[in-house]
Amino acid sequence: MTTPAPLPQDEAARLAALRAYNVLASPPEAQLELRALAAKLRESEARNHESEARAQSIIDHMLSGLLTVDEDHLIESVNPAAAAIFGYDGEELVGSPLSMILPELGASYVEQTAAPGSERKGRRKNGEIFRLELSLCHFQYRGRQLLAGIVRDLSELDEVDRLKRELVSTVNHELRTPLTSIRGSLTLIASGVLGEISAEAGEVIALAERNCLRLIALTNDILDLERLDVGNLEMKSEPVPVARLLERSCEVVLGMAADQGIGIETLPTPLVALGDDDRLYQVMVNLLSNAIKFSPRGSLVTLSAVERQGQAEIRVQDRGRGISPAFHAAIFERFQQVETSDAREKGGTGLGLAICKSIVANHGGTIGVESSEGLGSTFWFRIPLAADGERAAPANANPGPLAQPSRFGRRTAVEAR
Amino acid sequence: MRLLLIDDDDDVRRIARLSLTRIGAIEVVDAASGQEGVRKAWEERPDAILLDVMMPGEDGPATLAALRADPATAAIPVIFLTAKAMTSEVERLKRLGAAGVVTKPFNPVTLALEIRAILEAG
Repeated sequence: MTTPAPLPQDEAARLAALRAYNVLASPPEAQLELRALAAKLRESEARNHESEARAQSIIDHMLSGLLTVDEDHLIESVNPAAAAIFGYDGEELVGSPLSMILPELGASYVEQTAAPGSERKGRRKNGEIFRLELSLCHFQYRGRQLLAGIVRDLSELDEVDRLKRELVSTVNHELRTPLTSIRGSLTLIASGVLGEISAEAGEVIALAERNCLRLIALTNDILDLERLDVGNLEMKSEPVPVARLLERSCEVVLGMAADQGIGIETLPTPLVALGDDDRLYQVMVNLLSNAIKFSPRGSLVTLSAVERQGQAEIRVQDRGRGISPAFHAAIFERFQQVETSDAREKGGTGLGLAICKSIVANHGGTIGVESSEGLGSTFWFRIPLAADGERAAPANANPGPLAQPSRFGRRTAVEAR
Repeated sequence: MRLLLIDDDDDVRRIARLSLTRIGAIEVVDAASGQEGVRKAWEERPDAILLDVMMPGEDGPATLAALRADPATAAIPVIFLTAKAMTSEVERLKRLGAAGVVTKPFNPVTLALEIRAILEAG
């Protein structure tokens, strides 16, 4: 019996060797074995073709662009999506330098673009520069060091964003005109200038007016968030005396605090922050209103500021029900409330803290909360301090004449502890 | 005081008129378009004009330009009424020559006070 020579490792070569082998000259049992092996190899070959065709089909139909690049940064292959993103026919790109479509390509570009989803600039055939998401990685193939890249065109997302902003802006504007009439009608009736109404009717009108104001607050908040998202909310950068900021914020919530029997104390501070006075005031009023809403009657809300990590840290402390640590991060996200009934009972839009977070982030600062259930909450935010030369002590650094030692709904100046 | 109110929205005009007359004791003449507003400003010579910014046809800024172009109406103080409350928008409208800006939705109880304060400041 002749023993067939060992077959080569490569499957195609194995099949060729088998075909060349004189099966009929072999003993019957060897013939059977060889025929079975040949059949197995044919099946394997068919499966390989099928697998290759399947992989090619996936690559050809991918929505993301895929390209491979050789050691000299010349494009070796592109899928149709990649070619379409850059505005070329596929074949046109093969052999071209990668820098033709990635104009920022430089020495450490690949390392910097290794993280999935790096945002880069691309250049289309018509010269247009556009935003793209690029992930590049090295891989070895038959001893060669190649690069593979996944590309996603972000300019379409920009267009979607633009349409979304336009929609939000239009819807908001279209809402504000009817809201003007509804709010106007309700407020005029409630004010009594249109004549007397029954007590019950007055209650219902007050209810409608309250909800209308809530809707107006919601449209304002949505507009603010949309502007913050796209960086369209004007943000000044000027010295802001923190004591004055705290005082201004107190003034606007005094009535609300008095209604709920809450006292507000402001601790003196000489700090001068750097930022947009009006936007920081918006953050303060938001945090302060929340503190009042969630405080038990007869309790105290404390405002203070300290220098921490080279920044001004402003703190709003309440003695309310507190927040479970599980909610500490989530409450700064949109439409998040600790209790689902809060929006209804406390009247918030669920956007206030998200707006605070955005405004503080636009100042290069951070916001957070320290709280345990049943032990009250302290919301804080850190923003940059003004440079030394800009920290001239303002005339109103200390609480003004409104600060009186009376308790509820009035500010109480307390020495720093 | 006599005020010309120019706004294309019938309901907003009605509410503003009620508010200004009943609470602010201001006499109100109104117009539903920029063109009608310019004509009424010439006929009535009001003490001030409350002018909506977004209107079909001749919008607020175009109406203001037309009022300023006629010596008979050029000096009448104009207050814009706008649904866009952005600081940049308010500043843009002031640069056009408006005495001030009132944002929608306005509070009908304080609208007259707001208008008087703007006119006194100007």
